[in-house]
Amino acid sequence: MKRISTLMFALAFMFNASASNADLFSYDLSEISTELSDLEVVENVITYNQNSTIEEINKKIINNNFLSSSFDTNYNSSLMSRNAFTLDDMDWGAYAWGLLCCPVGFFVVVTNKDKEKAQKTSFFVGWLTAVIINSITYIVAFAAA
Amino acid sequence: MKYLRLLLFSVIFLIPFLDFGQKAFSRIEAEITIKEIDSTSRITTGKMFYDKNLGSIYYSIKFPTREVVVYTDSMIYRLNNDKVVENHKSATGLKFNIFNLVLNSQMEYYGLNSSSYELVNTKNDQDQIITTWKPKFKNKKYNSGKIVMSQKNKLIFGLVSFHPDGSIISKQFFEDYTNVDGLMIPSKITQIAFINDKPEYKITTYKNLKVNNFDDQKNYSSEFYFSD
Repeated sequence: MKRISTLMFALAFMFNASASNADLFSYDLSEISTELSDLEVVENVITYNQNSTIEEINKKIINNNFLSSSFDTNYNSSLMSRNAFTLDDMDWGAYAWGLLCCPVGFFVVVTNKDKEKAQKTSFFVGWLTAVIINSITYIVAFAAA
Repeated sequence: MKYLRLLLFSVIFLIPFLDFGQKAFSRIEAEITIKEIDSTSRITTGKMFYDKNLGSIYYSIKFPTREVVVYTDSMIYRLNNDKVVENHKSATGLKFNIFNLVLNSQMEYYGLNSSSYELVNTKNDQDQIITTWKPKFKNKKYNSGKIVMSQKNKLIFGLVSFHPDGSIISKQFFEDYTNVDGLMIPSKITQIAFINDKPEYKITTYKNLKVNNFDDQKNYSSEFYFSD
């Protein structure tokens, strides 16, 4: 009896394991089939209008009758997209320029082509911090006077 | 003595003509289409060119805007009219880029066997070989979980990345392999990311794959232009 229950347990475990792997390495695109077919329509418009300008292609997409819903052409390529700016991205040098010496920092950081986007954002975060601190200081000083 | 002379002749004159089947690949290019579906639907089309010796991937994007995006190991640049209009640090680099893995013959294990992950489990499941990989070291800043990989016919089929808490972060499927000069390259990659438990889909397809094209030098250099 004990052997039978052990065998049944082992079989149940094996079945469960193979079922979980089958689930893990499978996918179902049926719930996005409408969106996918719309993107295929857009892809065809782009393919058949290789020599047209972006504006002409956009017009043809917007006026296309085969789309199930309107297609928003105003977006950027995902190849350049990145996650939102976080504290990990902060460049403290650029932040200090914005906080302590904004006019000079503007030319050192913002107009400098070698500085990356995160550094420029850090500068503006620093500048905004300075504006907030200065505003609070003036309000407190004004109220005290 | 006669045989020795014959052997020496063979070694000296015939070996250079032998093809050992080890062809060096350094360049790859393709037409690329990326379809993304989350709260909105988006499509990106263009061409990509990668030379592993130069360490840069050039994307000549035709839609939604005409621009060039360059991926290097540390940075990503957006160029418009040959001028850098935006740049930011690359979060992933080129190490796990699919074409870098293909050209370096690392696709079999998706480069995990030469990474900070170690193989902890292997099992056969019908037509698939399932391997489990765990991070060798714990990193407080980048807390990463296990990766489970599936291979079919010695080619990577699926890759599932887990959060340390056991939830699935993303699934990737590599399908429609094409034999290009002996290199097996997936021409369709489906990625499903689970952000806030809501799936986000990204389907990338490659057409007209070419390797070692040394004719169009401009496509692989900083003199990049919008090729038609």
